[in-house]
Amino acid sequence: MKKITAYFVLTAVFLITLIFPAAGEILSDVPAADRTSLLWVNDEADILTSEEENLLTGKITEFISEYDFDCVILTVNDLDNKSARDYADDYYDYNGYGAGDGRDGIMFLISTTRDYWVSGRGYAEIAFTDYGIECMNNELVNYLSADMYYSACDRFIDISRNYVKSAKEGNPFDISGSAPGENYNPGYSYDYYNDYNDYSAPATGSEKVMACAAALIVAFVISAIIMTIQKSKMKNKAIAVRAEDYLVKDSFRLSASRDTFMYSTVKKVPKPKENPNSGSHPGAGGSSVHHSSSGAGHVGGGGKF
Amino acid sequence: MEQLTYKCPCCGAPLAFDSESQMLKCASCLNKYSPEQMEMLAKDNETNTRQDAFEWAECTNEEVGHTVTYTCPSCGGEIVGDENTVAAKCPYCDNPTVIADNAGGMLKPDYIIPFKLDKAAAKEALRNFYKGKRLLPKLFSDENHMEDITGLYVPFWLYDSDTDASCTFDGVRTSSWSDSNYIYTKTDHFLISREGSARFEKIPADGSKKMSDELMDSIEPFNYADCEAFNSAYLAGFLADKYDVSAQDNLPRTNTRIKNSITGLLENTVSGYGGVTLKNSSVNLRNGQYKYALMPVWILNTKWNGKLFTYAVNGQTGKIAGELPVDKKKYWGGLLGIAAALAAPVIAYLLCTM
Repeated sequence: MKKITAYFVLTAVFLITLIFPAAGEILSDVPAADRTSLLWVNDEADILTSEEENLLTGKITEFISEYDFDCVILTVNDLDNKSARDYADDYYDYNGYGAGDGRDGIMFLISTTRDYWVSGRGYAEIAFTDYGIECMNNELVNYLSADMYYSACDRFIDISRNYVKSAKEGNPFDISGSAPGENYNPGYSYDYYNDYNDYSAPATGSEKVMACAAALIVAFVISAIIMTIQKSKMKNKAIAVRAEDYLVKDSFRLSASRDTFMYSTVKKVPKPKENPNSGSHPGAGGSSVHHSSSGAGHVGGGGKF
Repeated sequence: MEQLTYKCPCCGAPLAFDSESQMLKCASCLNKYSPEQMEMLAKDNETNTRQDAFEWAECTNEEVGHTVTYTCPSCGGEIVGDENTVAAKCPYCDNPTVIADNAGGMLKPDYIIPFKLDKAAAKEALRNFYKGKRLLPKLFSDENHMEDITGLYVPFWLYDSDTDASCTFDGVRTSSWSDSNYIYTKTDHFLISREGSARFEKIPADGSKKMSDELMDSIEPFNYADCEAFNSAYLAGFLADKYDVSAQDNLPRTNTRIKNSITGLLENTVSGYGGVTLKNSSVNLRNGQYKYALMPVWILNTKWNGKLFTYAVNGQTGKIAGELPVDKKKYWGGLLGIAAALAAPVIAYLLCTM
């Protein structure tokens, strides 16, 4: 029996330690491609001149090298029966965009079906708040509806750069007046981002050490529990405080019994308000994250123009 | 005439008669109480102020003849054997020199439960107790050492009493509902009164200072069906202890046990509440009597690291009680060993795969 328990515990330790890397595998979709072959401006719909493409690419390259944060522009003629959001998310995920382990970056999709979408991943969850995306899109949609595609893309890069800059300074652009610390949706705060980073990252030396230390700690805790159980078996004496064993059979008689209601008290507590950050309600700040077909988290916004 | 003042059970403020509702009203929390409710409060008050009463009769016992008393010069313990039994060592402290002293006999017990378990059965009970205890120092499970187990009649006082008790309990029932803004929790408070009686017979309490109360309480219960009138023939081959804790000295322990049990029995009759707490209780013991009895106990003393560890086996039922020492080496060895065994494959896996 003890052996069975030991093996059960052993399996449990294995599972606990393995769950986290396994979660990483689900999220890892396509590994980052050779970045030199990545197109930062992919004008499939041919709505930009090659000169405009060069200007935008130059600006993006500078942005990427400064902040280590990818910026991608894609124009298409149709969305393959997908929503603009899914098309943008998938294009970004499956073409290997994204800087660093978190696949950080932002992408601007323009479809000649008059759909557009801004999709962000990794660090974008912090830099691009719901409010930030809304403000950006309000501006972009003006250019897009006037068919001023270059201007839209140019502004997209400028605004994105500002957002990332503010975020790196610890003050992501969000509803004015809110302190930086209050900007995040608790569910998708910076901690989440870090965790998520760990899951998909290939293990470094220090992570190995951490994992081994965690395994040791878990093993010690389980071992201490087993030993405490063993120790508790060593004593079986205690002062008796009851005498029911010596009650003469059927001698207990209940002679009077009365239950009287005395008074009532009523307590009222305010109902917990529904989390205002859930959904894409921009009023309360923070970022709303959805998951693309690869399982990766994305932020974003867009619509028709 | 004495002026009765009642306090509001809800907030504690004094209550005044409200002529409009013909009820007692609390000016502070505005609760109103009917005469019936006041009657319950009065009852609770009475239960609270009434002192517990414990009535116990005295008992006298004459001396037993043909016994030898041994005194242990080391721990001062006094044991009794019949003329033909030779005490080889003190059963309490393991001291091998005990001095025979015919000066004082022992008072004649009313009852005795003769040994049902022989030495081999007592040793078997010990072996079973040791089973699965991996932290036990080896010395303890040593067969030679187990030979030292000694049969001893331990003096016990057996208490009989009729018991009346009256208890009040606070009972609560809660219900909950909500509207669009608030969650409401309503708690109804009830005052519950119960009265009852019960008889307890032969509640044991050991009369030996040398024997730990914890240990003796833990080998209870004895089966009184085997209780015999005392006859010194039963002492042959065994040692007996003379009581040095009087029946009176043990009364507080016994009264507490009775009180806990009767209030527990009354509380068991309360049902239908989300929570019940004992508020006040008053216990009255009538016809209290006690008898002096000898109970069969196998004792094994083991000195380990300068400390004496005593185990007691109920000589009638085989129930065993005691505290075993933890072998520190085995403890730390086990702790590290299990931790290493658990962590090693996981670490190996991590190093290979990551």
